[in-house]
Amino acid sequence: MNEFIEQFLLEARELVEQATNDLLMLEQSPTDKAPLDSAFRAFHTLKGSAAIVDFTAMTRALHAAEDVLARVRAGAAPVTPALIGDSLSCLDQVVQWLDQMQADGESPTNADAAADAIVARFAPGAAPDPPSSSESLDHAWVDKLLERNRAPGARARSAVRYAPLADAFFHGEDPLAVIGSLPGLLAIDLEPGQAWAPLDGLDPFDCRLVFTALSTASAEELSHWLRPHSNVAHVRPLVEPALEDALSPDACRLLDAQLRLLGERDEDGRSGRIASAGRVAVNVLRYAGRSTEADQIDQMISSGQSGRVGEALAGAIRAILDGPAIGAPTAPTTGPLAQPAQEARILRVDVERIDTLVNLTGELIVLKNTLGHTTGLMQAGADARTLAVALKDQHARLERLTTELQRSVLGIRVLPLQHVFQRFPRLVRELAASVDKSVRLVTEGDTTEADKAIVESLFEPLLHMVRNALDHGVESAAERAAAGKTPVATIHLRGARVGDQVLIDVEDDGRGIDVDRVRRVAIERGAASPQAIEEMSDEAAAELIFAPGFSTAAAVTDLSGRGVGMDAVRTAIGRLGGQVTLENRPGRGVKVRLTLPFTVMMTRLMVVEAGGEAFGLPMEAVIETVRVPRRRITPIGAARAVVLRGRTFPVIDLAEALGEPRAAAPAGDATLVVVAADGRLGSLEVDRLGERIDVILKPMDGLLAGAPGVAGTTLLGDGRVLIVLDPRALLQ
Amino acid sequence: MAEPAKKRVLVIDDANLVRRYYRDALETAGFEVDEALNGLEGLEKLLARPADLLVVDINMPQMDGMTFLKVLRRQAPPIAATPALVISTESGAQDFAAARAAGANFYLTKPVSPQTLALYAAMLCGVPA
Amino acid sequence: MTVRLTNEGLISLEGVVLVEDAEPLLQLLLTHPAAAIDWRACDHAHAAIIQILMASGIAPIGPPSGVFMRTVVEPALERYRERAFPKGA
Repeated sequence: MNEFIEQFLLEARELVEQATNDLLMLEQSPTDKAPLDSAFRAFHTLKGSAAIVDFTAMTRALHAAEDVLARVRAGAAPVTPALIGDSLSCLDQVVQWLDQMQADGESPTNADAAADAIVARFAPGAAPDPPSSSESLDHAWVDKLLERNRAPGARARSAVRYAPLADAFFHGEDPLAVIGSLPGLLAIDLEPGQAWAPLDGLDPFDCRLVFTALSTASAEELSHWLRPHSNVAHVRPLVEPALEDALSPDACRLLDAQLRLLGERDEDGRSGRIASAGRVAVNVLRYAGRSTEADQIDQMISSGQSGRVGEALAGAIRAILDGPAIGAPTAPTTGPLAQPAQEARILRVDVERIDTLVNLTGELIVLKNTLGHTTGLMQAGADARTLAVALKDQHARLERLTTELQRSVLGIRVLPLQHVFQRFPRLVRELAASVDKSVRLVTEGDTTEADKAIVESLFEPLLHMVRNALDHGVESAAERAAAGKTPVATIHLRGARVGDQVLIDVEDDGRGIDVDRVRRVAIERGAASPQAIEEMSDEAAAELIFAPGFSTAAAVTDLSGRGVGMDAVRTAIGRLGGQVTLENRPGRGVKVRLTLPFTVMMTRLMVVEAGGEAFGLPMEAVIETVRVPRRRITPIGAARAVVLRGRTFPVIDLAEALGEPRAAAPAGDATLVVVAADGRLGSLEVDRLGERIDVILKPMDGLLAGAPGVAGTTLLGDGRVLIVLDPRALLQ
Repeated sequence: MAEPAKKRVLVIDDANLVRRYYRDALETAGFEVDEALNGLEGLEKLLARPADLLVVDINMPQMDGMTFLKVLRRQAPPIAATPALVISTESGAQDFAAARAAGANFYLTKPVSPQTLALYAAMLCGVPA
Repeated sequence: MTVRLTNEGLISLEGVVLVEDAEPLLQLLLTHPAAAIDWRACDHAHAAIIQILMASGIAPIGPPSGVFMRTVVEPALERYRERAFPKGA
């Protein structure tokens, strides 16, 4: 005997026994959920097992019983003695079949009649009609279907006509779900089987629908899929579209499923869903041998920003599924991936901005020609004085042009805040509903522009701030009424440009921050010493909500109690070179303001090590780096100097200048960085030279604000803070 | 030439027979198979050792397939991205939609032939045909 | 409630609308013949519901939220309406 059948018999008998006990217990206490759930699960598992050994009749019988139990579970049907009886009869029949299998070693082939009888028990008056022998069915429907759906028709491999029986609804069927589950579904048409009765005479449970559908799956596959409905469904193969290198229907189906998965909009688990859809898309393409496209998608999901990956991925999958246009005489020469990948990175740019760039380029070319003229004069032996005047003038022009060019190019990188604001109305509605508060969101200034990098990084911090406002700021309707406020709270999301800064406010009209409570909590959590906290002004105390660890609260609520608090907002904004400030109006609301730079100025740094620590030096100050034998460094009074190319430079030991004690006199060559600042030249002795990096420089605040020789800090990719030195101060 | 590492499939189903059947089909097709009896055990096993594919049942005690998928998609990136194939007896559109909302990459309705299972596993794991 | 009459006098179909909702929907249509149907929050509708929409000739306010509903069923329903209830008829 087949070992599966052997195991099936063993398990099935156990399940029958369990289900029998459960049913009997259920009859004793019809309202008890436990035996009902257990019985349902036993029928369910039994059905699944029967399907595995390909025992269709038994599957069908068990399905009918399971359906009824499911309805009871859903509270849609009562537990009746008849129901228990029918279910037990079903199990009796199962035992008979199992005995027969035990004897024959295979599934009985003559079990259909018995299965029909069981099915009929659960759905009285629903004995299945004999399969209609409608081989000669008119196929005009195919032509109509194709005529009405020309575009999908070009891709379809099969057509389906499905006319469920009039009592299909009574059997618990949803014919629309059957159609919806068809593999490779492209389009459907809906028709009534006969003219509708007027609405007041319409029987809503009399199924009159006829579905016709187009699919990319093969006729064979669809027939297999529609096997349970073979008496009412017809499948017609269509002329197959010739497609070179086409993906198999199964692969298309998988990709199609990923598209639908990407269409899910729930924020919870969204990045996980996108990542898994991406991985599946890559894997399907690898399987199909389309490794170039697989690599492209792989790169897209590993490089992109999470917010955009979903859209870009969907675009790429759609392009692959659409393939080269069928029958189109001129296929596009770019790969199917090229377009969506670009689309995700396309920026809208004002024509005016482009014109400015064109003009600047023109001016640069003029300047280049002028410089060429000056070098010509130099070669011809013009005197130094004349040349110096010309060069000085040209340098000034070059400086103006490069500054303008930089500003214009940065200007291209701007996006309106609308880009991030537009996601909030819907979110606020959902969030408010989830905590049962009435909130109106007002967005203002959404045409305010800011650097693309900033706008695209704002969503998470803003979401957190809005959640906080909703969760902690906005009161319940009752509380608001008691405070004499309007029942509906208002949250303002406001953007404005002020000089070189972009201000974003999240303002609510809720209860404000309870400063005393913040003090208590901060003391409890050790955010600062109790004395310091007591002595703080109310404003300073309110700011404690930004203290790290303040909101890793035990008071977890649905919205904001996720273990990350306002300190995460402050860190995120700090990374962008911005600041977060708070305006607390107890009883009247809170305004949190983000102050962000309009442009993200990237500073190029050279990392150096001194006294065992890493520091950054602005590249614009670095002239060169040299290694010299230590003996060439000579003491001059209290200081030291080195002669390089006939010129004397002071040597400053960086570790010493920064107050790091020198353990021992270093041996070997000295590594010097020659720097220039404010017209002074000098050399810094360092232990080691590191990499060159581009960073957003953040001005110093807090403890280090007054530290001499320090220009600011920047966050490294690994989260460490790198102190960036100010060469001007070091050279003084 | 070194044999490429076998792709690892974690089968999460409470029915012994079903797991046995999948294991047989997948091992024949060259996959390495691990099993879990419910979503909770599946999650523990997955976190202990990543898999290339999850084959998930819906109706299970302790932690059902839907909950498992939702929790899965909330995990940190490499784990959250694990492809998940749901195989269930439920065949209604609402079942498909619910599984998708929970984060399933694909849905097959039982019974599934060994060939179909092997084919989909190969596509979902990216084993070249 | 998956089928209900809203304060604005709309008949709203929400979530997964089941076969059991067909009768209430039909009753609402008969008692409020002028009411519009809003199915923007509909994830799935049973065939019995679609049948009523077809018979009534009403163009529901969409698109529905379910992907299959939005991409396949709504266009099919619209094409049916154009055939069965041509403008001006």
